Amino acid sequence: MLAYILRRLLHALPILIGVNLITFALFFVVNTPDDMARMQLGIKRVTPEAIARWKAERGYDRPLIWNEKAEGLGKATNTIFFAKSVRMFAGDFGRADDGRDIAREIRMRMGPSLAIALPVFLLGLYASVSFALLLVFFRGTVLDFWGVAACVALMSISSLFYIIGGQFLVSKLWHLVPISGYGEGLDVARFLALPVIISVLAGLGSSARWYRTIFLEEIGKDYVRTARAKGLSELAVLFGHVLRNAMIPILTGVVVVIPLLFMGSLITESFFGIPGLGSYTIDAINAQDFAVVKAMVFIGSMLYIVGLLLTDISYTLVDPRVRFER
Amino acid sequence: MTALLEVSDLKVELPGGLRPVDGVSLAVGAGETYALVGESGCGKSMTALALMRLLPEGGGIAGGQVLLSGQDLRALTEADMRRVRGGAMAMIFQEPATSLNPVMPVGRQIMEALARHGGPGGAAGRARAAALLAAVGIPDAEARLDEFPFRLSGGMKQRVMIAMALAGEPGLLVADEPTTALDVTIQAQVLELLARIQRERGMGMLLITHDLGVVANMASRVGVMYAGQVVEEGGRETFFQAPLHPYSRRLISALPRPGAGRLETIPGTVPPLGRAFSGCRFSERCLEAMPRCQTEEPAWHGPEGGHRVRCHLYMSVPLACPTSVVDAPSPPDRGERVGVRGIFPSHPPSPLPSPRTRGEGDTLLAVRDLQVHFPVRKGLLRRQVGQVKAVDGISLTVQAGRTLALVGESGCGKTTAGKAMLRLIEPTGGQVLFAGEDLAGLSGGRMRALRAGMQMIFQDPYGSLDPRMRVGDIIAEGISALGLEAGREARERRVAGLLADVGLSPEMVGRYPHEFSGGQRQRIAIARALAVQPRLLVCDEPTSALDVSVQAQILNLVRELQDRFKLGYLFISHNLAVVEYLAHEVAVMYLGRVVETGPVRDVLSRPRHPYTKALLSAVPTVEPGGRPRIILKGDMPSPMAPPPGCHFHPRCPRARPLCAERFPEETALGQGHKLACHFPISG
Repeated sequence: MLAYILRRLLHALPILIGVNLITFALFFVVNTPDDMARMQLGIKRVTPEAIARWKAERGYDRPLIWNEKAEGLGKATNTIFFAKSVRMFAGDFGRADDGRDIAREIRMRMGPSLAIALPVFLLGLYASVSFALLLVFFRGTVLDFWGVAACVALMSISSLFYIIGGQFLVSKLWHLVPISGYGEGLDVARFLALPVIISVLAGLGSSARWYRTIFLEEIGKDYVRTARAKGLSELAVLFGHVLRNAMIPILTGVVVVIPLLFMGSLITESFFGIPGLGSYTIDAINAQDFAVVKAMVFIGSMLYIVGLLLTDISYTLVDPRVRFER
Repeated sequence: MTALLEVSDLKVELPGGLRPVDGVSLAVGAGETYALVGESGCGKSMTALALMRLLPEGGGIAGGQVLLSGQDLRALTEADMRRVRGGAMAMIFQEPATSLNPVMPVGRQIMEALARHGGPGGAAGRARAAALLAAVGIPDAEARLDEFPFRLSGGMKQRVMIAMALAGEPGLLVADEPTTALDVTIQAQVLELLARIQRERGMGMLLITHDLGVVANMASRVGVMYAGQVVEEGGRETFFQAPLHPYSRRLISALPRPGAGRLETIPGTVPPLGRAFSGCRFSERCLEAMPRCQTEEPAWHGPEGGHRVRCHLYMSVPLACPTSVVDAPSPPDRGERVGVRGIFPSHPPSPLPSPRTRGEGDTLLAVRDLQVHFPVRKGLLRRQVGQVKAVDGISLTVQAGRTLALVGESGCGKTTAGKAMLRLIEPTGGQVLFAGEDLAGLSGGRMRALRAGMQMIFQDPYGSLDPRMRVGDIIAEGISALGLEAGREARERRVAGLLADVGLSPEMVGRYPHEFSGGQRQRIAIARALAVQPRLLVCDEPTSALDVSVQAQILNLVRELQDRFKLGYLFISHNLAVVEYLAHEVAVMYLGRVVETGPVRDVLSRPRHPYTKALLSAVPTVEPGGRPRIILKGDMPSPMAPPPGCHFHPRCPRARPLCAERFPEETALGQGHKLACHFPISG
């Protein structure tokens, strides 16, 4: 098992290097260091000297990935790519263009991100599995039909509509919770209630419909017929036999996102003004702040790889047939 | 005596207006085994599921009555019915591999059934489950309780299923094809177990099967089902001595047997379930059909509870003396079939095709010491830690116009060997000579050219044809790949000719595989193989997915084609009856090695190797008094860790210490009969 995890982590290295290269290439195909300086300095203060000074202060005066003028190893290390991207492997994220330390920023913003993403994840999973089980229990009836119709309706509407509609109704008309913002201590709950409920609702349709399909597929299998032939009740069959087998495919889609919860949600955080990593990323993209963008992409892909690994490990917990002797 | 189970006029309806069961009546007494037999699509399984009220969703019982110990099961509420399921009436299913919950230890699955039907829970329940496992012959039962199903072999899983069914101490056991998915030696074990349990507990058993051999060994009464109805019913002895219904008789005479000429077949297929019938349902496939058969539904003839039949041929004939009855309506040659030895003619074996025509007898394929080893890798660096010796040094020859059968149980390496001979898998060692040319190390181009000479037909006619290609394209693909015919018209002519050769209409070129039945698909697969004019055909279990009557059609075709084109066959099969019928030579494989080989008549009539003998004796036959049954202990060991010495010694009744030390050398017995055994059975 340990050997397996080690091997998987070794496989992750080339993937992360590739992700870095692609992020770097994509960013500098559309931007140049000069563009970044102009953006930061603002139109009034742009002079060639100011741009040169801005680039020199932040290390953007070097060549992109290959330094002809440098000596020896410096040809590769004395470049923007090495200084800004490769050094992240050593845990050095550097500073944002506004001079703040990115690592510290990430630590601070992780809390708010988790505070919204974790409840959304847990409540969402619980709600969609329960809803799917309910539809499956009443399969073939009117309830099933209208349940699926509701799912399709829920997933057909853009999540922006839920956010704006929710803010309008709950906050503006009914004054139940603040429209946006973030607080301290227990006060947080007032700010989080609306985004959590809306996110759960927005995700319910598609996942419940998908889980229902998985449950129905399981229910047609031979071992379920065996369980019924034992004289078990429909509920005992559903919870005792079908649920655990159906969890195997459900886990594939679910466990992989657990580490990504740390990254927060781009849209929800921006709309509700929550100072998490999601809104941080959006702001950085708008400000063309390469240092922050590449740091967030790097962390995101690392967490994704960890998520895939966790998925495989979780298989061994639910499915006795899967072992690491592969 | 009132019967344990009484079914009268049972009708089942499925969505889409299908009627898989249409007026079935039968009765099973306590301690009696009632075998319901018929081809697939006859409604046997649906009858069983209807008794349990476990029909697929949307389906239901449309009429009739089901009485279990006098209790009307149709009148029960669902909650009461649950008490009956697994309680008074339990069921085991065909596929032990999928019928157990894969993520639940087998002990818990049994305890669940115990707890449901008033058995003990907790530690006492565990002990009871272990006792049940021991009762079905699972060694070390206590430890096995915590195993997951995937750890158990197919036979073990079916034993667990039986243990689970016994948990509620049922009075009636419904067994739906309980041994169809198992190897013959394991089938023999499971059938013996079922018979013993039934005897000990005085259970009634409804056995559903397509295998007449199983029926002949297990049943006390037999019911033959056709198109949703029981068409003949009778005690085992009277039924096999003198089957009355034309369908039953054709079914039995379609069974392959040694030395027989053309097998009898049943034209056509079982009619679709949705249609309405006027008259006898079998009439359109019946050679004895009379005008009235088309218009008038036959009634039962014969005494209730005795041997009776639903056929107009018996209108005016009293059923007291069955032999004369059979003689009366049959064509003359039919009468002699019903002799003292049952329906089997005592033909002398047909002479081997002796006058050698051109090309016949030439060695087509010579295999020397063929090995296929698969590496087993482990650890961080994927180091090879061992190997599975799937094929471990086998030597064979196939001659033009002759058939070599490679027989053995699943996992013995016979399919791997067949694929390695065609280089569909790269052999690890040994030599394969095709028409004198060594295949190992041939370049891609030369190998492709040789491929025209050797083709393969696969087991599963449903999976081995590309579902998105038209039949004509499937057949023509090989022709154009090897550039055999120039021009489209020539190719089309060739395809049409091939379809005619395999007994299909040339107009079918434009259809897709899903529009054909299993037997027709296998014909297409044969046409595809023949398209490139091969000299050698490797047939990998070509009939094991087919019904008996269809199997007979395919076997006839395979034989005809051999005679016409002087094809050499390597016929891979586990079905010894088919091998006995079709092959000239046979090689018996066990765990990657050939243990006995030689002419079919020598090897199969006077087997010298204990494994061959056990394999033969495990095949259930319909012939009365067949061979004495030898039941082998245990399962075939894993090829990962084969036993030292002779691989067969742990299961061999004749094993002595020497067998565990050395693998026996191959000894020649003359006339090509060779044997690898330290202590052979004296011929």
